[in-house]
Amino acid sequence: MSAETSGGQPVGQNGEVEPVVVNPEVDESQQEQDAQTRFEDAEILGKSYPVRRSIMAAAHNAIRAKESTFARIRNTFAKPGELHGKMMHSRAEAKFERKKAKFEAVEGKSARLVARRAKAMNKAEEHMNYRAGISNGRTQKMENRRTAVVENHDTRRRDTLNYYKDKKQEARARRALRRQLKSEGAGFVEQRQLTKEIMADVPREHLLRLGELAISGKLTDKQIRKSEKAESKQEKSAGKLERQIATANKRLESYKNEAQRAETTADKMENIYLPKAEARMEELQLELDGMEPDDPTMALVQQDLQEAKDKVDRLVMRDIPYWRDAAEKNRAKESQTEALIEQLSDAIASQERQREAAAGGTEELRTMRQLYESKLYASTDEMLDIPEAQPITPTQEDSQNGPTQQAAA
Amino acid sequence: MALLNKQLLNDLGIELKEEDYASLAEHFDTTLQDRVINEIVEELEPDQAKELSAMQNASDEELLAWLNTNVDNLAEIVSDEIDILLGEIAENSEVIAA
Repeated sequence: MSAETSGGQPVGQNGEVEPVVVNPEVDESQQEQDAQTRFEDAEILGKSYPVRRSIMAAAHNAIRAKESTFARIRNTFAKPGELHGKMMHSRAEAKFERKKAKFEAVEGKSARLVARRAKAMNKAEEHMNYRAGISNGRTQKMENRRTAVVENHDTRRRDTLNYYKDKKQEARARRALRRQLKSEGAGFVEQRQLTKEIMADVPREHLLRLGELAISGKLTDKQIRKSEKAESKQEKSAGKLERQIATANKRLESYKNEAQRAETTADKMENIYLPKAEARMEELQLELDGMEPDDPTMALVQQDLQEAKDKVDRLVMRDIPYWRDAAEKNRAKESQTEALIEQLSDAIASQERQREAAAGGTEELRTMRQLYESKLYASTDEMLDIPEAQPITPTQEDSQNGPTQQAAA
Repeated sequence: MALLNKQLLNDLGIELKEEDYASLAEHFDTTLQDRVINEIVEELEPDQAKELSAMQNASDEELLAWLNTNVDNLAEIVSDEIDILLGEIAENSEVIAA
């Protein structure tokens, strides 16, 4: 059965490296060395092993969805910075315009004044350009994130196409080599003609059945394991997103409460405290207006009136605006967090769809494997056609044959 | 057989409706079977061909066992034909997607 060898190891009918029966008296280190050699031969022989279909489960759309989600999340958090940058640029621009106007207003006047105004204008211009750089940089960064998602997707697609095109070239080369080697046998042409005549009479259903069996029977555990691994990876990723959603929900609740509290406080100040303070102020003003100039208590009333005015001013110009602003900021954060939660939920939904598709594939592979294992073979080893070990004696000729000879077989 | 799944097509930039996908998958399976059969026939001797043509009533298990025993490089043949067919789909991905 075994005619050619590689490095002293026999190669069987199907081109597989047959395991050598190990003499039980040989120590374990020698056995390990044999196993190592066989594995290296397998790597050299490569294609001689049963079909290892590894159709890439790259899931480009899932990766794109994930990248897009994270880009949007990052852009969401970068948005306040971008707005701040634009605001600062706009302020710097306004300042530059003022300085420029001032400079133009003194043109033709004192040289010292002109130089001073020019210096101020140039400084303002530098600052404006500096702010423009920061603002544009932030905007560009956000834009780059968006375009990177698209470019990465296109790159992955191109890589996948090239991968399958290269695999096709290699497979065609192997097929051509097989046919060439076959044709080098004596009487090949006549034999092939005769074979084709015989097979021409075979019903198509039988031929299709043969093809189906040949293809299906060679699906291996590797495909199942790969699908299972992809499934569990997606499950872990979904768990991470769910935790992020839970955290975001807690923050959302906190922002809502803070906004509510700030609004309530501002309303109370506006509707209760302010009217009271204004009423008190009016009351004191009336009292003061009705007093005689030499009234000894006038100073006290004036003082009280001033305090009342100060209180009204504080409420109008400081306290109420502060609480309104706080409420607005918390509402803005609330909206951002809601948008974030929505994006994360979309990402989970997309992953769920991908996982269902993978699970379907995994289930089908498992079913097929079970069918073939139960009906045909007692073990996976038998299904993979690893023949029983036969005792052999390596010959001198065998040891001279290298991997090239093995590949040609 | 789910060798040609929708995810693979999406990764190649081919987005198809359900009925178009089903049609392509069926065509893929049939073409693959035909090519594998042709290659198997190329490998057989006339005696083996006679033996195979007489096994039309044999069970799946017996047929598969016979193929494994009598067809050298069966795994390679199947693997190579799948690679070739997927490569053709990749090369024509723009036409298929259109």
